[in-house]
Amino acid sequence: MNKFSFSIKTKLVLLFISLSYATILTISYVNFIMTIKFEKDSFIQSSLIQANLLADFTASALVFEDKIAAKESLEKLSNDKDILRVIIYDIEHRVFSSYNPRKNNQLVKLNLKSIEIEDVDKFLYFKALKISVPIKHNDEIYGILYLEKSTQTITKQLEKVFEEIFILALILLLIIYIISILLSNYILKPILSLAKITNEISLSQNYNRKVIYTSNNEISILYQAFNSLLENINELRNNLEKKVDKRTIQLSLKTSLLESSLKDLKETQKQLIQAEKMSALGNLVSGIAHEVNTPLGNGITSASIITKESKTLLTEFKNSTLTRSVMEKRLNVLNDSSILLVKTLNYSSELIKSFKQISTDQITNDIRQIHLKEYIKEIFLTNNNKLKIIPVEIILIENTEINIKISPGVIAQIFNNLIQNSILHAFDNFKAKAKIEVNLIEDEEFITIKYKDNGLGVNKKIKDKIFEPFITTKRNKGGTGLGLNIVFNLVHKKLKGTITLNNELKIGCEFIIKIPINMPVKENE
Amino acid sequence: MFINLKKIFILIIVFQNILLFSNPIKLSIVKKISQFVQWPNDFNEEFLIAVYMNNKLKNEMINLYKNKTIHKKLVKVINIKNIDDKRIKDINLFYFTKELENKGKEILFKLKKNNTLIISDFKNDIYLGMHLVLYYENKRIKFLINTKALDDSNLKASYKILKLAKLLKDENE
Repeated sequence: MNKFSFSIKTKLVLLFISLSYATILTISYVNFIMTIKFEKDSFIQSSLIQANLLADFTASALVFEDKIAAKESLEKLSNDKDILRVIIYDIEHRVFSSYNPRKNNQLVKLNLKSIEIEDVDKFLYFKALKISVPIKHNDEIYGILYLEKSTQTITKQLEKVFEEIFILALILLLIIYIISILLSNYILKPILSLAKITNEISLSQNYNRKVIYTSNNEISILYQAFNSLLENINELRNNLEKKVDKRTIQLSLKTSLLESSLKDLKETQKQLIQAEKMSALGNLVSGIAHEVNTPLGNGITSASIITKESKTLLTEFKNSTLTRSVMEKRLNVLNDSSILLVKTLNYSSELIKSFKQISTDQITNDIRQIHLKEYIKEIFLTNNNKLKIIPVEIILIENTEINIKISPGVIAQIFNNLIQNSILHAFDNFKAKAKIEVNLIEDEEFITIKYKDNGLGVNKKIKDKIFEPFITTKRNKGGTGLGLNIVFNLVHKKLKGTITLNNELKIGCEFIIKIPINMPVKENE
Repeated sequence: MFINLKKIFILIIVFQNILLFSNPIKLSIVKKISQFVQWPNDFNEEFLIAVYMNNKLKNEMINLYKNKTIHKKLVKVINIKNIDDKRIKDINLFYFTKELENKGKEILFKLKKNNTLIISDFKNDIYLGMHLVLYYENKRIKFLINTKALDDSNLKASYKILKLAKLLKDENE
């Protein structure tokens, strides 16, 4: 609510006062302007009459050149304090006689046709009235009478009128203020009473109450409507309580069902994740078996050769048929086979070691320092049996040697899922030359891993929700839709990083993973 | 002795009047006075001014009023010597510059029956029924008006001249 908002009473009072004041002001202004005009015109007219009378009375003195008589006539003006100066000019415009109590020697501009008031356009305080009238008799002009009069009288009169109007306006305003207060009280009293009762009902929640208003006017309609509203509220309240009870029971049942469903769902999710893990483990085992199979086969072959050659050598030695050259040949074969056997066994050992490390990492999630590129290379190796079928070219690039203290199991899980994703989706019935490129970039804050394949790309329909759980286009081919969701959770929750799908790529798809270098490390999380 | 002194006093006044009431001034005043007096509408074609037995003044007047008008009428000046002069009834303004003797008084009584403004240079003539007399007082030329006589002759003096002049009523007061 606006804290500067006025109450209705204040608004009503202000409205009354504003309207009344505007009306009073307008009327007063018009009245005053008209009074000024009237007073001014009256003053000019009376002054003109006075000047003409003076001209008449002094005409004979001028005609008979009786300066004393003229002087005597003018001296009588001393009673009129408004007259500043009277000058009688003869026909030659020479001063014949004058009345100048203030000794004003300012030059006079004689113009028979003019009646001039100085600063006549000013609202109230204009200066002197200057009138020139001809002194004539029987249409013959004998001279000019110049009359200069102070306008102080009308100024004072108008000031008085102004004061009176101002005081009257103030009194009217006061009366209007009192009337508006009384009127507002009269109008607002039933409304305020209704507001008070409403507040009481709100606090007591007693909707059985009724409001009573005896007069028959607009307020009574409001009171009737309020009573009707109270009845409706009461009815609704009763109904609502019943409905709430009913719904509460329904809700309780649904909540139980939902809880059960949620429990089932969590169990299912757990099972799915377990299945996914088992699948990953199966893949790993399959990979191990496949990778170790060849060197072990070679080793068996070498061992067979060694056994066979040894037997042959021993037989020939016992039969004394062994020649130097044959022996040398046999020994060379034995040596080569031994070397090959050792080499294949070492290779197998390394492979198993590597697989063992990766599988251990996936189970334990321990934190340790790894060389990222080498570790990723080993992960690809564990998936080599499947990648080889397509086949897929693996390109690993790093801008600098990246050694990072991280949970390698998390990295392994992420890459296993991404590789599985590429194999299952990107390179499914892929005819071109498949390629996976991993780009490792380290800067001051992040390690960025760009995993890109040149496969079929992501279906537009699922592009925006690719990281959501159970989103897959290969459900009929064993896809669970959990792979990328697991990747998303691992990146966000375990590595505190981000993963995004590069939407701008036209061929294949690219995942960009950003891992903060100074991420908080929580072992065994 | 007392009569002689009175005559000497009158002579002094007359002499003074003669000096100060020189003809051009008097004639100018007479002309101006005529501007402030209203005659009845049945006016002659010309404004007829008469002087009583003063040919010199008549000539001066003729020269002064030559081609001049009073109340938009051309001025004609005549010299009246006896009561039988037929022009007496048409005279608009009669100017006595001499002390009235019997013949003068007769002319005066005859003039009173007409609409003739009668002016005199002698203050006491106002009591004889003259309409207006010019006199000198406190170094000023003043005039005394007999308003009743003016009314009797159907002449109206402007309030402007009445304001300036002394009225016979005031004089009595």
